[in-house]
Amino acid sequence: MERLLKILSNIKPGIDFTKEKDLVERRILTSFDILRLVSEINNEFDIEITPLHILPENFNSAESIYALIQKLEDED
Amino acid sequence: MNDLMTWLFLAFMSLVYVVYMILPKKARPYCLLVFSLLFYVVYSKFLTFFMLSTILSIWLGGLWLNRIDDGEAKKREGLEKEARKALKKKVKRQKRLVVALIIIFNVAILATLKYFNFFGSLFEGFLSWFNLSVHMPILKIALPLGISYYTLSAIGYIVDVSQGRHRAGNLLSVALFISYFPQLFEGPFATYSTLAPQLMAGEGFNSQNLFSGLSKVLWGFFKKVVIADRLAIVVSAVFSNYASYSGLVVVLGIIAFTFELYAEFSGLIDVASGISEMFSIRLAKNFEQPFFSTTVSEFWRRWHMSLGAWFRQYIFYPVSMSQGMMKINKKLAKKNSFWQVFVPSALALFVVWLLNGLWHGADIKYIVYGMYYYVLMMLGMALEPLFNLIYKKSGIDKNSKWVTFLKIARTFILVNIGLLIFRAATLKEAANIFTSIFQSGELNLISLGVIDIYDTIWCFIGVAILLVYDYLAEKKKLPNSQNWHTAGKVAFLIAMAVMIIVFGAYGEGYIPPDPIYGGF
Amino acid sequence: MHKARLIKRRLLISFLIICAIAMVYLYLVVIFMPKDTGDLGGAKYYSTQAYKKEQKNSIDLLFFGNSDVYAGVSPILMYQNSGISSFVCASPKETGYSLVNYVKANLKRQNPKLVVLDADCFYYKNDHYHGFNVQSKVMAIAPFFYHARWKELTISDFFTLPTAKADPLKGYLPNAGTSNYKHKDSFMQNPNAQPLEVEKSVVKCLKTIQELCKSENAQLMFMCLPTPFSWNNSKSNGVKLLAGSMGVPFLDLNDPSCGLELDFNHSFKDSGNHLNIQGAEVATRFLENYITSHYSLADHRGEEKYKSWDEIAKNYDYYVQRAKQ
Repeated sequence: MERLLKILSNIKPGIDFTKEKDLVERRILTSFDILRLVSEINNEFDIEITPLHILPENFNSAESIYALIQKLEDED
Repeated sequence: MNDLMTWLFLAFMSLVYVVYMILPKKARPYCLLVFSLLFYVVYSKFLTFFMLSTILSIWLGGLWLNRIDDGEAKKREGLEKEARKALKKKVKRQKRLVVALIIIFNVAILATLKYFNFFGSLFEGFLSWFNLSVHMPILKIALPLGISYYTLSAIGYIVDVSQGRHRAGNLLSVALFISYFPQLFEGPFATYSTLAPQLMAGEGFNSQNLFSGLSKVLWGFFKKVVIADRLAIVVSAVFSNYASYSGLVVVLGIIAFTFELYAEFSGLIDVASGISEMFSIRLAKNFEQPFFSTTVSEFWRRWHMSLGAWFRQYIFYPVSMSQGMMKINKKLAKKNSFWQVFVPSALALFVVWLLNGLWHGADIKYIVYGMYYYVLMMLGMALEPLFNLIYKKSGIDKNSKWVTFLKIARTFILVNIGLLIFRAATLKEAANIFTSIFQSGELNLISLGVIDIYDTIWCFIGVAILLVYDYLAEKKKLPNSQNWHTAGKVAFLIAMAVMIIVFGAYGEGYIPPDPIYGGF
Repeated sequence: MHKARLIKRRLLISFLIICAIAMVYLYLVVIFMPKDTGDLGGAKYYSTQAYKKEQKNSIDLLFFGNSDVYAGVSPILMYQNSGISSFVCASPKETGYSLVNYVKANLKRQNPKLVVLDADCFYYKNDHYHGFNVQSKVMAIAPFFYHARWKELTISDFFTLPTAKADPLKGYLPNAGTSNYKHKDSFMQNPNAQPLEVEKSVVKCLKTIQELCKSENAQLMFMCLPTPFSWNNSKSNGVKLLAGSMGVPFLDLNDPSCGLELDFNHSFKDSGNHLNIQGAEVATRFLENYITSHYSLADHRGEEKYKSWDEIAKNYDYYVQRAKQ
């Protein structure tokens, strides 16, 4: 989770990702941000997030993103 | 839509509602399907055949894909890790083929019906460069209702099934998803996983939803008939006779078009959403106070949101995260993540905007329209670090009210220029109209008899209503009408209907405009 | 709540809602119906109702037909010149059945010496839907049809019922303006054209009218006002034949040989369909000459009973300004 929060604050400094919800709906994370996020997460966690996984539900909070990461780590 | 059609539609709607509510739960989806198809056949006649082919193709395609998946799951069990990987790869390729087949089939239909003449003329032009003259035949066929909408929805469905977002649906749910009539005119787009369950649920009578749905329908009609159709008087005068106008009048004409388009488009979406809400079906939001956007990128996240979502889900992410892009990524891995994704996203965005422009119409000017926004967005993205530096150095708070206001104004101007391209008959005309702004001209539309003082006042009131409503919505301060007493609710609905009847811009003295986003 | 009571409650609420909507709608009808010939749409509406308000047994000459007639015949102009009291009772899209109904309704109140029917409408499709007085049906859709009156509503509109009013111009609806209509040289140049037969149901209606007139001791005559838009030699010959078989005189103002001196290029408000004010003047004078030389109609100028007519004739231009379309 720590690593994730670091990545998030690198992309969007100034946002407290432990608290904020509805990141996609409130346009805190734009599609461009999500691309960067996915690229860094894929590198950092050695998983493969595909467009299939890019749903608002999965990216609306740091917790849900982390849950996705864990799910993909378990898959292989 | 003339008066008779409006009445027929209202009668049709009431009939569907009553029959739907009377029927038992299980029969309701069938009821919706029958009425949707009936509506479609009456509207598009034999062109219904095309929509039916689309439905069949994705239904069968979905079943095929599921078969492949189920087959893989069975085979997996007895295999080792290496073999599993190989099987996965093979299956992936198989499914890709199926999806490609179905997409090509449906896009071919759309391309032929909608774009044949356009591509034909491009081809002619291309060959003429080489002094070859070919005369391409011109296809004179009307478009099936909503083909631009349902084709994209169909593509979304088959992609979702192939990626495993949901299982293939049965014929009823697939047919209903594609043919559901309120969304055929102007959208909004929906994904199968969000819409189909609602369509199949067959929810019964709900007085709260009846009221909120009717309110939305009336609010939508108010925007369309009272505001949009009235602004159309000014807009069509300025645009069809642009040589006669210059100066401030042209600016007003362009701004009037922006609000006419917004009022009409969001109004008709509200009608579609309101009708659905009466049936306890929630359609996706398509607008979120777009004129409060601070950047052009943000504008396109608040305008025609369902189209943006479709492009994001099925073009932008797949293209920017595709194998080819990932390779480019690895090459740029040394630099910071901003530049790492800049190239893929720039390329993906180009594709998105090319298609977005083209989707709006089979004409060069629509492609230019798309490219206009693409260039603006790329500039915005590339210049962002520079702007951040300027803010830092000068000490201006980039979130201050003044900066925000300026950004909103800038975005508004850029959007208006874009819509000038959209509305003008040709690019040349758009350029002419634009230059005429800087010529002096004090032609008063009222004194020319284009519009009288009463309608002019209403134009301003109409725009004010739109802005006030959006402002309240932005600040989440819209009043909650569900708390009212039944008598209050009925009075409100009657009052809205009266406003539309009395102040609508229809009948003698008002020109009937063609719906702008409707010929899709 | 018990299911039966719930359904009862819902039915009651639905009933009340429907009542509320009906009341609101009726009130909207009252507000938006034009109250005067000066109101938007008022001229057309009241001109088709106006015959109800004419003094009984005061009209000696009646004109019936379609919109050509209320555009092209001015009774007050005729009265100014020769004191003949006439009235125009015409409506757009007039059908054979409409003619019968209008003639019947007028003959109940008047005892004219002469009834004139304009033949242009003989060739319209004769159905009952467009029959008698479509304008009266307009009241049912008044909130929609006259909604643009919101720009001119006054306080009195909110509590005045629309009732038939006397029309000072006696059914004439003046058309201002001239279109750049260019009269074709080929118009009515084919006098031997095959006659176009008038439809059987229309003939039946005309015969009914003939009977009615006979029983009221009124003479009957057909005419056709200038209307190159919809007229031709075939129709003219068709009506000529029919009139001949019925023993009714027929005066076709489109026929070059009738002696009408009309500037066809400048006398229409549209492309040769409806006469404008200038054209109506010429047509009215021509009709007046024909009628005074073939029939004997009284000169009522100065009579006590026709004082109101004298007043209107004195202020003719004012009334035309007020009513012109």
